[in-house]
Amino acid sequence: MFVLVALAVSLIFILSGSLLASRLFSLNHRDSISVYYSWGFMYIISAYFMMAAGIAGYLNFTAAFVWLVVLVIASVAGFHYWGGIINSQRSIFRDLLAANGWLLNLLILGLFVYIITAFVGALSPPMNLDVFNYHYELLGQYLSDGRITFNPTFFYGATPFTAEMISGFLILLSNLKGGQFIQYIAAVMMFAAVFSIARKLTDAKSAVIALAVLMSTMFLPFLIAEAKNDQVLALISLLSLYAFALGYVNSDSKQIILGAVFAGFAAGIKLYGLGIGASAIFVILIGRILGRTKLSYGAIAWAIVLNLLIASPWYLRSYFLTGNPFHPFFTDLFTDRFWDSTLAFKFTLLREPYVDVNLIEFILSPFRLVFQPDKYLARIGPVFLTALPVALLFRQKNRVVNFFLVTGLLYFIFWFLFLRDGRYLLPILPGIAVYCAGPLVQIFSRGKFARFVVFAVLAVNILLANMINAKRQYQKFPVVFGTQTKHEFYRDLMEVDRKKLSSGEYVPVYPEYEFSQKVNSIAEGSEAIGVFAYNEAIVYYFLEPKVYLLLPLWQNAIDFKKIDDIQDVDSTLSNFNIEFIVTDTGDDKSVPSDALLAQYPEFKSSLRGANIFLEYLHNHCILIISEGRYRCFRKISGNTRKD
Amino acid sequence: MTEISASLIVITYNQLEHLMKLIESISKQSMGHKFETVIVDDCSSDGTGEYLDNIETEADLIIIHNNHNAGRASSRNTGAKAASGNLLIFVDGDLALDDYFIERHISFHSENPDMTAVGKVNYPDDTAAGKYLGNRSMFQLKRPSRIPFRYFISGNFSIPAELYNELGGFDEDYAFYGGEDLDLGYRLAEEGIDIYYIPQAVAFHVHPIELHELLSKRYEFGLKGLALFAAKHPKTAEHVPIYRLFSRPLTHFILRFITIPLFYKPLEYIAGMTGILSGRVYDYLVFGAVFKGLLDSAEDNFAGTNERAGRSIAGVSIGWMAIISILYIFDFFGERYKTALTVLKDMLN
Repeated sequence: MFVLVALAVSLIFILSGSLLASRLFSLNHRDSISVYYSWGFMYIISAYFMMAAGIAGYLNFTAAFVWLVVLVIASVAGFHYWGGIINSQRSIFRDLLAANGWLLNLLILGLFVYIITAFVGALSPPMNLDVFNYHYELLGQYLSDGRITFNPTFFYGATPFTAEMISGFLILLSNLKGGQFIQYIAAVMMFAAVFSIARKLTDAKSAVIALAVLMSTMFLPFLIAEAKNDQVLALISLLSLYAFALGYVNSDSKQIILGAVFAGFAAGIKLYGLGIGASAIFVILIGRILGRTKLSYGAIAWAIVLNLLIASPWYLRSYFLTGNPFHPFFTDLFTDRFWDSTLAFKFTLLREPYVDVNLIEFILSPFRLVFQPDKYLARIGPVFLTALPVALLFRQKNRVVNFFLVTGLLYFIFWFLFLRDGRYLLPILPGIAVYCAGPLVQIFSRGKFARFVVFAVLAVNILLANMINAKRQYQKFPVVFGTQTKHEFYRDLMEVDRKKLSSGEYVPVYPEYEFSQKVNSIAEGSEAIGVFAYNEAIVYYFLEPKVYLLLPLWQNAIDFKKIDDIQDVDSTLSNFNIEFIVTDTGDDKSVPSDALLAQYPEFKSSLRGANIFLEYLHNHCILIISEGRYRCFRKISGNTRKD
Repeated sequence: MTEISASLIVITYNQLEHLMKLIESISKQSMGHKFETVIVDDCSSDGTGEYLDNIETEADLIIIHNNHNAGRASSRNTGAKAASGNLLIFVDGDLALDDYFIERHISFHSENPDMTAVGKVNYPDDTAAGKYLGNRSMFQLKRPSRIPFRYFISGNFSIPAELYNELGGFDEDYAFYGGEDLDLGYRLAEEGIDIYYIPQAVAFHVHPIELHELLSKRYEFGLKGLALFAAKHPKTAEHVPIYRLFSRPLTHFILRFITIPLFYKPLEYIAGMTGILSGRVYDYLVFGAVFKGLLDSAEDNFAGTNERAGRSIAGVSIGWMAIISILYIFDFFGERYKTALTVLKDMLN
């Protein structure tokens, strides 16, 4: 059912978006690419509507339903676009399936297998750690409260949340899996957009190659079928860059404005989405100064204003809540109320394994991304490294494609300076894939041997990507096909030990799952649960009451430096109405010396607070559940008075 | 030898301001020799036609108006047909002549009746590009010297009319900027006619040359003139250094690499803005511009005139792709072989 709801909502997005896109930006609905703009428009506008409803305290089914009715009415008005939309999409499939030679058809088959495997994976209950840590956890809290509240104990409590609002929209209309499935649709839209854009700029053969280059990205299987926001960010970024490129090349200010609107959307999805608009507008500005485009400075200024304006709601929220529009980043530039020396030092430690920022590392980074993925926390795969230098040697006359490359390189510099996480390159990879496709097709058409090598490189990597995808998704198959319950799914989910990848040792993904269920049965009806841990928190998503994180290393909403005695602990917990506290600290009555918190003098004052907290748990709370290292304590109110 | 009667042939297109200076300089020529001036207006739209129709000068002028923009090669041929002199001296419309210009050309031919002479063009040195042009190749020579055909330029040269007509003049297939002089130079060399550089026959470029103008002309030369020349005379084109580098696999590959925009563009901008870079940088930029023109002249990065080079590019590309992929596969499975075994075991169980 949730699949049908998500598909229907997508269709409604396209129809209503076509109306808007054609009126505002004169987009031709018969152009296959305008479908993605239409979908993207309504995706983001719906997200902003849900945000507004959430701020107003109406984040509930009624609001979602009312918005759906509005969209349906708009879709009826835009229904006359239907024929053109269908024809344009049909032409994509026709081109995709047209005889391109058996080698390319084999590649296409590999791509279809990939998408279908991920489709099945997208039907399962959510299982991604990030989704549990904040995407769905915070969203769950908002939906439960019926408003967008601020949970200051969450590190990402004030960051942009556009994609999650759409998941929320779908959750309200169907269920959790609907919220996940719409993000899978975003991924498929991204693939289709890459194909359409590459086909428009070059030909169908290049489009297949561009798609293969993109889908060979090895970290994609880990997010394509999850309730994450990377997929939609990549789609929106691609559409933004494409509009910017057309505006730049044709000196068309309408396209520049369209690009700026989508860049604003991108920044509303994730903080680093800001880099897309910044890179593109910088290139355009330089191009204007050098006389490469006839765009007026006024149009560029409007683009900057619109970009910032459209992104601003989430950043204004963050500013009003924390004093820092970019919380928890750029804390040096703003007075962030939820940032302190412990967090700053923890952040330094977190970034320690990252590569240094210097020219040598910058030059080495493309190689490290392929051969030393641990350095950048994501495996990007070798195709970009094989194709990009080759593509650079080929002169490409298409200025749109060249725009993708230049903005991509600028974004890459931005990425290297500030992000250095391989996954955060995704917004530019679709454009770079389109850039690489042309030269690869030229080599492909060069002769039998060349054709074989290009095919082999792509095919082997698509095969690897398919293997990774299958490995990622196949665990979900039993629960999707009904041979396993959701409970069994989470309980039995096994994964290679993340800390020892090469060992091949399988460990439970959520060892705290059963414990969480027991806590739920006892804490039923309780308002809030606190989660205490020295280092990383347990996966708290499975806890049903509202969660507050009590992590001395992670945030200072509960400032462990300021805890002087157990009464401070008691009053802090009371402030959040926390009745139960779960920990993974076993019987520790003080923080052990091998814990990160105890290892650095910079953590000393937080360590003292953490020890007082442990003392409080063991001496002034009731131990209710003890399982392995997991404990659940119940707070006894009023027993900590000094008298 | 019969007495030399010279015809100065000027072609002009939308250069009225410069043309006025040229005509002024023509009227100041030392009067040792009689000469006529043929001006071919290649369908200018800046008032050149009206100016020429109403010009008052003592010079012996023949004015020709093309009814369409026919290009440099065709216009020169038109001028040559209208000329009555037995020595044809060709100059571009944006040059002004030294007072002894005609005299120097005539005196050279009176001593060397069967040769062709290329005169000097002085570029204003108030721009870096002007300085660069003024000091390159044969312009550094102080004495008359024989030069290879590839140095033959048509902005300032003289040739006996009979020889010109025997050769059929300029090849009118070159209907765009550049290449027609290279082609004529080649045909002169084929006929065994010596080409001499005479530094005393000086013409002055009347407007400053900016870098972007120089590079865009060089690009156009690569794109059309040199590409057509290479198509017409593939073996001879190898004598043109840039084409030789373009057509040989290794140098082609190196040039491709060193002229990628990542390296080329910043230097172009810095050179354009500061004008303080050395002549070597300008050589690189000019070579790069012609090279890009040659690349763009091909349908794709392989087709056209650079077949051998295309093969090398394909070879290097394929080699790179194969090596990286093989390394990756070893790396991938090397790291994950235990995982793969476990997965396999799980599946079998």
